[in-house]
Amino acid sequence: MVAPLRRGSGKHGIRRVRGCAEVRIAALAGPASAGLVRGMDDRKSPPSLEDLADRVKRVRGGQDAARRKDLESGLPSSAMGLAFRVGVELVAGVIVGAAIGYGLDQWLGTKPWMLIVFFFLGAAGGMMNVYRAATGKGLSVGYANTADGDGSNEGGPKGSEHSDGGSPDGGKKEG
Amino acid sequence: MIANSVTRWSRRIGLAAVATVAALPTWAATDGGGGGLPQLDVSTFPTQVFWLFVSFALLYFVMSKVAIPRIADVLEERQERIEDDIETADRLRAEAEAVKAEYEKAVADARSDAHDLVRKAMDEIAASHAKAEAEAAKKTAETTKAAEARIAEQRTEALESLKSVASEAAAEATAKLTGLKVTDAKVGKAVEAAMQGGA
Amino acid sequence: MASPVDQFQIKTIGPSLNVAGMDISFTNSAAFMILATVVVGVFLTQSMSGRHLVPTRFQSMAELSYEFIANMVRENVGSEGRAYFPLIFTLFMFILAGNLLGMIPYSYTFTSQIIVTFAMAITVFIGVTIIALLKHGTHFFSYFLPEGAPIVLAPLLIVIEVLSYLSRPISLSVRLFANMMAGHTMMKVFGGFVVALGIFGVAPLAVLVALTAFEVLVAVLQAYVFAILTCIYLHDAIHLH
Repeated sequence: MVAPLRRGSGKHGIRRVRGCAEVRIAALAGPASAGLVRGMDDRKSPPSLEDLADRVKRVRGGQDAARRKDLESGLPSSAMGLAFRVGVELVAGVIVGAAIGYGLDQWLGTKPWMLIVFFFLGAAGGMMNVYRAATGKGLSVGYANTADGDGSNEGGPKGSEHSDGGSPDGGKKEG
Repeated sequence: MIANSVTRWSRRIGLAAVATVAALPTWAATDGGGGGLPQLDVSTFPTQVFWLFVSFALLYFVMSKVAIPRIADVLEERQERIEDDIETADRLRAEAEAVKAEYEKAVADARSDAHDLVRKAMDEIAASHAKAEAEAAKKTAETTKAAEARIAEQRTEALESLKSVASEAAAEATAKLTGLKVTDAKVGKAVEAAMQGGA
Repeated sequence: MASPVDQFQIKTIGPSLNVAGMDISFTNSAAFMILATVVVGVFLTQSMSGRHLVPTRFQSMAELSYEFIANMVRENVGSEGRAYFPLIFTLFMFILAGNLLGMIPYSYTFTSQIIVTFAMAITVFIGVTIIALLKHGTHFFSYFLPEGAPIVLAPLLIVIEVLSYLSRPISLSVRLFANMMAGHTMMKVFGGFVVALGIFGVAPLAVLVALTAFEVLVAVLQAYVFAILTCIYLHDAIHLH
């Protein structure tokens, strides 16, 4: 992305602007240098200044757009990424629950009750994680209905970016 | 003691991991090996963890001290350069536009100057033309007047001489015809009366 | 035919070392960890040594991976994440190199070792928990108390939340480990079919080709998932809610 941008706007752009300015200056100098002007025109007519202004604007706009696009691509919401995550979340919850239950059984001598209880609690915890992953709430602990935790995660930067992008447009319309 | 409990715990976690793997359909299809998974051989854990931390620490050191600053430098430099180039292009464009405006102004000035000059020349020519015409007319009028005056004078002169010739001829004719001597005054009067009557 | 899981066997290379009763001999797994370190280190330093303004192919790859992780950290952790960027970048490149090196025939995939992935995951987990505790103190524990839940259910919900929090390192490590191991085992099985079926081995060979492509994708994806989950955990630790 970076390289063509350089090639487009950098060296050549400036060289052409310089050529353009020289033509104007030569034209000012009088008929004696008309031949020079003609020669330059024949080689390649310089792009108009409006064209150059457009290109400068486009390059600047392109950079902004790229930046905005970078900001908007957030969490992997593709089905595949989700599938890879969800399956393991549930199992991991069960594993942790079973392991803790087993450990408590060993410690308290309550075999096998703690294992059974924590197996289901672990499954519930795993399901919470699956729920959060599947509803796009990330994997944050805590409940989704608090919502601000998630809002600061994804919505925050996006929202501010939108308002940034929106204000110049609004100004333009008013003007 | 601690190492022992760590080992025990890791064995438990390992056992749990077996359950996980068995739950995966892909694994269920391929589980024919038997004899346990090499990954669950607890005796290999210390060496793997040790070398993991050694290599990771080494990589982290190289990354944070050499690689990352270098990449960051280059990216920053490029970003600056691009912005600089865009800035330069914009500045040069503005300069070129200023030059263009100047040029156009100069052309317009020159054109209006030329216009003025042409008009002034035209005015001058017209003025001198009118002056010459007036002079010529005046001269012609003078010449005409002089000529007319001369004509009138000559005419008077001619009339005068005609009158004297006529009275002489009349006197002589009278003398010859009648033998009478008529005075000049009388003849003159008669000629005059005749001329006036004739005219 | 050898068992398809024989490829995960740890083999000692050179003399066996024992320090404080622990066997820390150099093994094939360790060799590939060091190799991954060397490959990543050399790749990222040598490709950038030219410092070209218009990047070469390798420099472009290095820059892309840098920007990829930099964007990931910025988006998922925020500006406070800057300090942890080197760690996450190292983690990503290390796992990526391990996964991709494992795709080379006769190589060893250290990320298919549960203890390796678990060691990385538990380190991340403990580190993130310490960051949260340092930043928020005891307020951190309010994290596990759901807001607006009936008080009668609170003990149950707290237990569930704690379990779901504790399952993080397990899910993080098992995900990477299971993906790498399942993929490599499948490839081994299909490879065995190709050899066993002789001329009819073309069909499993085609499957194997597709599987190899898929495994390369998984190798990259899992490194990405590990890195992004680390970012998300870090975000939670810093912002709590």
